[in-house]
Amino acid sequence: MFNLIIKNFSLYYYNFCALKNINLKIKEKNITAMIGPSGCGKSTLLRSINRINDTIKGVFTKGNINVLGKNIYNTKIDVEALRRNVGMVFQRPNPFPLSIYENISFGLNINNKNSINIKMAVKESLKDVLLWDDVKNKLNRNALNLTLEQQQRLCIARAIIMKPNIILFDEPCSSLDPIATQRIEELILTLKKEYTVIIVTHNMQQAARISCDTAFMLQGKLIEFNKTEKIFTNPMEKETENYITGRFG
Amino acid sequence: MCGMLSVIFVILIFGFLFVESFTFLKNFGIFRFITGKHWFPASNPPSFGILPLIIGSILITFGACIIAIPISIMSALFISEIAPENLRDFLKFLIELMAAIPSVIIGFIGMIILVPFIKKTFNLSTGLTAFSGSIVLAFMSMPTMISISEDAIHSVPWKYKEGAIALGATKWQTIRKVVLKAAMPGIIAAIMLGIGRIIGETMAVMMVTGNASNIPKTIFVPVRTMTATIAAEMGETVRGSMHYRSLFAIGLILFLITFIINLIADLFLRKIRR
Repeated sequence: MFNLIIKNFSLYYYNFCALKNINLKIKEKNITAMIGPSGCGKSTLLRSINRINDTIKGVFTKGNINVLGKNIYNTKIDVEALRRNVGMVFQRPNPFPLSIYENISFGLNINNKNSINIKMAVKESLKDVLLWDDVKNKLNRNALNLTLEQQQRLCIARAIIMKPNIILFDEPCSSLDPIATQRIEELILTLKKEYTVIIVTHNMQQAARISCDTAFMLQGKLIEFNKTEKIFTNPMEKETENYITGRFG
Repeated sequence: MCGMLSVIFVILIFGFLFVESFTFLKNFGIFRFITGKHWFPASNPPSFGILPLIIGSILITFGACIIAIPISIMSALFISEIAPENLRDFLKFLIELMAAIPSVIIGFIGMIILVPFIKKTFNLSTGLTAFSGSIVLAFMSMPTMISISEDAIHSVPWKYKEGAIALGATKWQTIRKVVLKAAMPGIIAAIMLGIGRIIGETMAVMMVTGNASNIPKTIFVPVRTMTATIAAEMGETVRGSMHYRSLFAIGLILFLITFIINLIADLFLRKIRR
């Protein structure tokens, strides 16, 4: 039922404690939002789940994060395999400066998954993100020629072609206009059927619109974690109430 | 404005070479000039065939590219992606220093150290060969190639690498499949600049290649390049003579060759950018 369990997790950046003793259990096939003011550590926590924080100098961690029952901070873990299982979509769309086809098939190609029909898989994932009709005749064109919304869809397709368990979204709509935002939100809602989705957002309405559970963070601490409607209608903590009613943040 | 000015300069240089060599090309015949196998400008009647010179230039350039391009790209990748920060700064400094060595000094070192070494290792009658020229030129072009490729690799945005890592790519896969491809236009520009330097280089080549105007059958025989011919013979000619004008014609051909190389590179760049 829970495929992601965070236990007593702390993260330090040199001497600065960016995440303080986080405990969180995230349900599978569900959308969980993380909200909080900038600098509260929500992105840092998200980026700990696929260990992409490893690429930043000066970061070290304490505690566990269990993905499908395995502690991913165990030294013996295969980090590349973890990242194939935990996809990520970034704040700004970041397609590679390659063709659309090469972008989508990237994950399968580096894996040498010969058993999979890559062409079919590319088509499937482009269909899943509702991009197939727009790009089916220009798969060999450079992906950077697409609009920002299409680029973000492509990045989502690039992640789901790996059939991950969890997909992390780091403010996926912050560089998009309202209409594109709405359409990407609709897409994320459809992903819930097959994937566990965790989304970081600075946009409280977005969290309220699409998530089932919401975690509110402040200064590196998890203040409250509950059903989204509870958080937005009847928060337990004073700080949560202050934040969602707009007194700070 | 400045762009226009540089175009005007190129046209003026071309025009100057063309005017100086026009009467020669008309009298001797451009086809005979390019395909002639013998360069005997001082004999009677003189023979102005520059095929051996063209082949000499191309052979040396080709050899130098084979040596310099892989080493340069790997060095640039090492400096930009693998070396720790302080080593990186040190290596960059060293490479920029290397670029500043005058070509005649490199030619000198080549003549004193490389030429005898090649003679001994390959058991040749002379170490003044096309191969020596290629090594010396590779050495001279590498600083340019490394330094510009390194800039191109270094300016690949972090978000591309992050995207690849997030999809489960290893460091090496990220470098090979994303970084190298994203930096390719810059790397090709670096290679083209390097080739420009190789094909136009005169002094160092003249000192180590032996300057025999034969059509080379292997890379281990003396050759003569187009540039070395112009440099070596310009001082001995009578101004306005057939020989004098033929040297300008060589310059014109050299100019056309580099122009074509740049044009190909440009078309290639456009293709990958699309």
